[in-house]
Amino acid sequence: MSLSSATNIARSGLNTVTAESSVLSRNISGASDTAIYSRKIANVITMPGGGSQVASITRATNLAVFGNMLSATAANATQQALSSGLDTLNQTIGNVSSSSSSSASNSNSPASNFTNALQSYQASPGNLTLASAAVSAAATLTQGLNSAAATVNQVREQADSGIATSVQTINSLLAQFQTVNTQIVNGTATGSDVTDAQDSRDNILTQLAQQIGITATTAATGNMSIYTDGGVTLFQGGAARSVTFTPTNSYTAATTGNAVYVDGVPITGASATMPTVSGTIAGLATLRDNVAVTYQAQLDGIAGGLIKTFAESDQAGPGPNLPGLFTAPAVTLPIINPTGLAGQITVNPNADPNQGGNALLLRDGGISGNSNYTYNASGDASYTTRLTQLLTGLTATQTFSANGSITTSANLGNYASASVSWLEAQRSNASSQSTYQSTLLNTATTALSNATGVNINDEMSKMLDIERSYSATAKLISTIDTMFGTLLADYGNIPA
Amino acid sequence: MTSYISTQSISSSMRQSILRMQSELAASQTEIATGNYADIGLTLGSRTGDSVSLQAENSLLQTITNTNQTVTSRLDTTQTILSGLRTSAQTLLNSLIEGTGSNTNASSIQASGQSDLHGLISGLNSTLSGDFIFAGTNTIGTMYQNSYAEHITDNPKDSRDRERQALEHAIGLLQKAEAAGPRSLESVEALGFVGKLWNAFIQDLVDPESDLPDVLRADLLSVGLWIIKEAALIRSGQSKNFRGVIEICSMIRDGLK
Repeated sequence: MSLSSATNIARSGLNTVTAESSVLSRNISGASDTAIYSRKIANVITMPGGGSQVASITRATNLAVFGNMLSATAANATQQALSSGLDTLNQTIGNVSSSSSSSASNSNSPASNFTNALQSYQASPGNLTLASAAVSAAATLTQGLNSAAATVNQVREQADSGIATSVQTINSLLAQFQTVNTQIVNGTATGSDVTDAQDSRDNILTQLAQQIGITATTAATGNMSIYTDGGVTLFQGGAARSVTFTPTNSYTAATTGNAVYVDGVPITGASATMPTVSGTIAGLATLRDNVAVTYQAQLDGIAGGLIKTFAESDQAGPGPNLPGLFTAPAVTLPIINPTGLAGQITVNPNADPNQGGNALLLRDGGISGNSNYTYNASGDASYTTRLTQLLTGLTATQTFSANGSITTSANLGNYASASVSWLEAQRSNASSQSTYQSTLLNTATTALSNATGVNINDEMSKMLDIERSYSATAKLISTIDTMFGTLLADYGNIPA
Repeated sequence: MTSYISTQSISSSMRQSILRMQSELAASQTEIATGNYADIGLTLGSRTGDSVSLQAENSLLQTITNTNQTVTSRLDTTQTILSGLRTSAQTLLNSLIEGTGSNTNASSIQASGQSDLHGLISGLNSTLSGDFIFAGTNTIGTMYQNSYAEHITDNPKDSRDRERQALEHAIGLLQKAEAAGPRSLESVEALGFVGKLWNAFIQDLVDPESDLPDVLRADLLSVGLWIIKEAALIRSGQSKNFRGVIEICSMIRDGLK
């Protein structure tokens, strides 16, 4: 051991301390970063022959917790997408509360108003005012069905454009990921500090997880591979796979949306063999292909039931049933396929006073225009048989398509309230799932933050340590310097 | 080994709980104000359909209550009219049973019967809110016409019967007067009655709406005028020709059989 080796050791100690303090300052500045910032750790080792050195700078990681957080992010995004879509669909139901000011003629439900108006008209069949009121209540009901069907189409269009936006985001994120990943691989190979790049790569993964559920694995070279939660490869071998989607601009009741393709494999829709179950894409696809379509089928069932109930039969002979008060363009009875009826159902203009029709035909029959279908043969003003028949028909059991996912055999009123129940159950379920998933996400984020984040107080106390060891090392150096000086001073005094 | 807490988790957990409590506060305020759940569909879930069905039933029952009131008023009016008809029919029947016999009661019974029939028809034609109550399902057109009332004219046979009876009475009075003499009380009564009777006949004969042929009318007129002149002569004492008047009245009476 010599003084010069002591100097070297002191110098290496200073270097180490300055490196540690730079890591510390990075930690403190990144402590409140909203993006993921992991705690950097300077690994100090003792060199052979004394002295210390910062071998590497690593970051605090917890892969398990990080994986949890990614899946929680994706699940939360799914439920958010579903909830917002269901809230839009909920507007078609309107206000289900019963306020104390609602009376028999002013309830919140157009269907209920129509039944009441028809019931009032049945008591005074000669009264033109009551007949017109019944027909205009029917018109309000059909307008309600039409706007509900339009809202369903709108929801599907919005979901479709949401999926298109999401796919674009995924593609741009994958491009960014590729850049950062290459940086990390190169840096790991040369041994440089890649911790910041790793943090930004983790951030990209988090943003990606919002769009589509993913799992990620890291190789020893620092290369990362990304797979969807269905198992399809998104990124491997340093290159991103293609994610494609063809948007559909406008939706009718019969339109089917396109699937999202990752690497040629469909991941949404009925034909998906490896479907995605989480992420915004999964939520929007469920909304567009399952929820909205089922609700559309329920609305169409109600419209079809109305047309069937109010159909007129041939009084004179064996002619086919024709649509009566409620009709739709190009509809024939019996109704085979009711798809799209909710958007097309209208009040027959022959019975609508606003379109030049005669509201009293509701009592008489013959709304279809053919006089063979007139029920009131004698032309009596107080003919109630047809009206009683219609009111009974509204409470009679009908069969509905199974596409509605609710009961297939019920009367019209019960089917409509079953539809309301179904939508609200979906909404309530999505909302509670959303709450649950966001709580999980918070827990996972907190756990990750606790595992890998920065505690400023802890760093401050470390800073005290560093400061002390810096002053100790500086003291060491000045002591060695004094010793050198003493030595040289004695050398200078040797006589020649 | 103490567990490590990062600075960020401390601040974010406080923020999260504050946000959650604020949204719960907003929902609770809405619930206090309206008295219902803040988001009914969300809270009730699959039971929302029950709520909707119950409200629909409630409003339908209110409607039925209202229409039942309309029907009740119709039935009340019907019952009132029918019991009124029954009462007037019973009254007429009672008066018919009591009044068999004298002529004056018969004409008053006929008059009250006529007005009761008018009352029946107008009662059966009564309306409520523009609908005829007793019309079945054809409630627009007037049900019962007044055809019966308009066509109650005098039966020609009955009117000749009355005239014959009147002449019979006149002849009886004249016979008593002939027996008692021209200055008796019977004579005054008989001549007075004959004068009134033939004045009535003459007024009927000169009425342009009389159905008799013109020749017969002219003959009867001259007969009537002679009888009245003769009655006046007898009353003033210038004639005692009761027999002549009696014979003419008998001939006319026989002609009315």
